Amino acid sequence: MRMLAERVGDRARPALRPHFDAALRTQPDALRAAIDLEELTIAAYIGQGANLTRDAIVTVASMVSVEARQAAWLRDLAGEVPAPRPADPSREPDQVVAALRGRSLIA
Amino acid sequence: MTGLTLADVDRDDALSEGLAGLYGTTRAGFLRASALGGAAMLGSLLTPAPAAAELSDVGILRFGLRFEYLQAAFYTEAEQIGTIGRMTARKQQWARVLGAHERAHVRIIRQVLGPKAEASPFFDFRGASESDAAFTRTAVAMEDLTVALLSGVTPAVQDRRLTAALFSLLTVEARHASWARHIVGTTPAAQAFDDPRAVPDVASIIDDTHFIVKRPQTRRRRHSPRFTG
Repeated sequence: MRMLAERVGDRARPALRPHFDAALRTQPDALRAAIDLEELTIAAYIGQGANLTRDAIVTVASMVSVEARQAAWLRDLAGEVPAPRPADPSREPDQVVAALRGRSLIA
Repeated sequence: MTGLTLADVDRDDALSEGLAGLYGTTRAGFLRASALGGAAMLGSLLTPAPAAAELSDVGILRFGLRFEYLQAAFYTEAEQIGTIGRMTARKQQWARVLGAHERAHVRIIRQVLGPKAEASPFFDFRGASESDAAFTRTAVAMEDLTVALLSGVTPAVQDRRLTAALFSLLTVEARHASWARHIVGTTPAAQAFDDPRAVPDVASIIDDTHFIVKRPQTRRRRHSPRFTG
């Protein structure tokens, strides 16, 4: 987050307002929410792959792989297949925001 | 150590063939220019001059395909000779999913390359596919190396549609690496950013294993590949 904030500077959009009350009620709820957040993050980066500058791709490539490692780790802890597909899907920003709202993870 | 040539250190031609495809340099060209003064000189040979560092998208995909062929063949061989079948149920699932994905990656990259796709080289895994321990060590190293390779090459592709496609393969390889590390009890995501590696660096590591060979060979069991270290 620090790296992105520095890179985007004052061009950053207003932060989404997190709403984690329900997501943090139980350990399985928290695990589920964490998996959803990681998966949506991965899909968002893939969705923007075609729009990034080369410099940004250098940074994002080293970061999105760590997001994917975390998603797989969480899925393994939840008893889910860590790598459910041979290629990960992409999502557009409005789809990501809608999915976060749909899961009640943002206000 | 003068007089050492690329032919001396690249007996199987794996390195020079892989690099020739990437940098448009023929093996003959390599050999003419490759009277090496030692390891440092070899290192400088493997690091292309800035002008030559611009890889074509086809070159990048061909190298990626070569690496996917290697991974797919490794998992397939371990399945066929029964190594995977002798593992715990948890590891069997892991190894089989990874094998299926790597074979799918081969199909995906072949489809993108179309007629420019090259045939698979031959492999000799030198025992690494034959025991649970050797297979697991090699798989962990191979998956981490794939993440480093894809992190390194993705910024180099010119076609932005390919960038998104490579991201979607990179994240799956990172999942594989994480899963593999979790299986062996090491931290799946040890750093906030993965370290990218350049293609010549990866080519050099692969070459070190001697997994890619000129023609089919009988399996040798005496040596553990350095790749698994």
